[in-house]
Amino acid sequence: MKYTNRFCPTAIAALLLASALVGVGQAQEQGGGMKVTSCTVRSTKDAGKTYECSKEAARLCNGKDVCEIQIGYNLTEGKDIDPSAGVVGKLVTIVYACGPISRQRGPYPQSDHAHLILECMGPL
Amino acid sequence: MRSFRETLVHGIGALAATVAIASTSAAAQPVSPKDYPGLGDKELGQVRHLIKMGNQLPGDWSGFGTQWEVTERSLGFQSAFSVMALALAQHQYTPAYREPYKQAIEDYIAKLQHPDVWERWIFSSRGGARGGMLKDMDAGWMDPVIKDNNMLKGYLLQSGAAYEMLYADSRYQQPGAYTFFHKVYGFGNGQIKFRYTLADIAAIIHKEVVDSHHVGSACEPGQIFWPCNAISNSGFIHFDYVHGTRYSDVLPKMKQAWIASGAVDPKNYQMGGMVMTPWDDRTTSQRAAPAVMPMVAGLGGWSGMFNHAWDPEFTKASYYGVDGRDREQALRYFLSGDYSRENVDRTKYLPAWRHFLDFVDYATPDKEDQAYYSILWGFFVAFAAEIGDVDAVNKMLAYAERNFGPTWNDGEYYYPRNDDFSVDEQGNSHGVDPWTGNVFLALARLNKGDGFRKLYQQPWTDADRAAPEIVGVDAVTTSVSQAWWDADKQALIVTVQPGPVQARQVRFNVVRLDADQRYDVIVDGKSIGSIAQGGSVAKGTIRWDDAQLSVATPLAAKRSFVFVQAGPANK
Repeated sequence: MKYTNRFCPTAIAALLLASALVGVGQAQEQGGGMKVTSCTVRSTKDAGKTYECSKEAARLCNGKDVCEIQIGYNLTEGKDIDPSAGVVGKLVTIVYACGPISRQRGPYPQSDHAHLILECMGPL
Repeated sequence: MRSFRETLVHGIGALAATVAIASTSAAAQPVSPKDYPGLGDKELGQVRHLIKMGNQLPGDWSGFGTQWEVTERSLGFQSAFSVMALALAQHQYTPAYREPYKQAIEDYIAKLQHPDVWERWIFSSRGGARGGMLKDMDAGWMDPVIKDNNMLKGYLLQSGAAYEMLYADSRYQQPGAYTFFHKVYGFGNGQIKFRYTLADIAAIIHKEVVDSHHVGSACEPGQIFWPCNAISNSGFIHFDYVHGTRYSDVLPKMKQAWIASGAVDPKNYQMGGMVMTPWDDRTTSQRAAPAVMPMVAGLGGWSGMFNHAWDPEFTKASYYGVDGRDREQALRYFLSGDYSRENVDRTKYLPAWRHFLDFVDYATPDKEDQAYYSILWGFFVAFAAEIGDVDAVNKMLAYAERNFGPTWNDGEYYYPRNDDFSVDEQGNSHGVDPWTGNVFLALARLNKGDGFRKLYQQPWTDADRAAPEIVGVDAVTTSVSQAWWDADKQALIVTVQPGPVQARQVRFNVVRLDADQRYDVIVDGKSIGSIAQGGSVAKGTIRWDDAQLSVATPLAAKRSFVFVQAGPANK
């Protein structure tokens, strides 16, 4: 096997591991769990139809190291912000901070059946 | 030739057995295991194989692997059909022996939630230029249940509802009973779980059917197929039975919608099999594939074996075709080796069959897709079995025995995968897809006609499930070829035979016998006494302690046990 062929997978693995360790380390350093910085629900059909869900997401997840959060109508006070967009036409994006590190989860379609996992451990 | 003495002894023995059978039970009705369906040796082996494959650990797809990669769900299809084959066997051969069937069905339903089965939806949901709906692939959506994908969720409904009908076990009603967990770090927008109950899945499919003006729930985005809706339709029947809903009211409406759209021709029993819709809207611009192919072939067989449960006259007629011509053409196609050939001589076939042959050539563009030949073969034999066309099934089974490399292994009987689809001068092809080799050929033997229809039209009641049952069987040493509770005769009928590993003595237990009653015990046709709770017979090898009656018996060959209620116990 060529040196480069051997080196590449090794280097990638090392980078992934380092990234994971940095994430773990930073999460442990800050110690206070996560802090939701933004949560939005937006229609894919009408860009003007958005909903700010940070308050509800923060209530559910702030301070936790791992948060399995339902991303359904619980984030929009039980309302469908754009029925015309259909069942997969409203996307949820959550940004949260673990210490100094910001992480994004989503966009995923808003659904009462969907449970997004926010975590301060592991790769970004 | 027997001596006079042997004949006399045999005759006395037979007379004694007859008297024993005839005189047992309070109702004085004879109880003979021969009067109840039982599994033959090959059927037992095929059931054992289905159970073993179900019991394989999650992610162990040994024996499932297929050459047919055209659709996303070969593993899922095979798992779901395995559930239905086991459900049929459970219902019609061993209703009083449930443990291994129940466990295997649970295992298969777990497989349907494995990422290897559902995650390819992430690609499918993106659609694309193929089919003319989009100019490019869409972002798609990961959730395999929320919209479309009836080619998975229909099977979730069918298998889960059949399980509930059989076992009255509410595990699939618990929150998150069906969980699809996207775990990987390598791609996606973060880990996410999609959590459903069986009721959620049924409601979503039903809504999609109604919203489509009863054309159906889309299998692929914007593509509504007849077969996957046949699956979910049959699922509605069991779900309604268990939950009291009226979802199956849509079944005749869907049939009418397909006829009205031109997708099904009820006069000539032809179909196209698919209705296409726009990307965003399942209700407008529905375009039916023209009804030019015989319903008995391909997609018609896939769906027909289940449609027979609720629409038997039409489905049976579609199997035979006008004047029986389609059934005749099917046998010619599947027994001559033509099913395994490219560019079949069209002059041997009727016009509708020529369309079907064109479709098969289109669907198997590469040599690597030829496993579809075997799958089509399997659809037909399983459909023929459900219709009760014994002559056709026997001919197909003879072809399979001759060509498909039937294999016994640790008590399992199956036809292993073979990618050699070449055909010899006599029309023999040896190619086998695992879906056919593991499941359809099992259905061909297990289903003696109307098997699925009975599964749907004669669902178990609470009384059936509360009846006596045998438990604690060591499947390594013991095969149970029949297990019945006859409520009319208040009799438990059990036949066991040696498993793949012979043991000098085997055991099983009987639960839920009526502790206030005494039971006559008949072993291999001979009365050996009667037993009540706290007692024993046969030198203590059959004992009734506490709640369970236990049986210990040598098992060199098949043995039958009958326990017939004989009146109140003297306590």
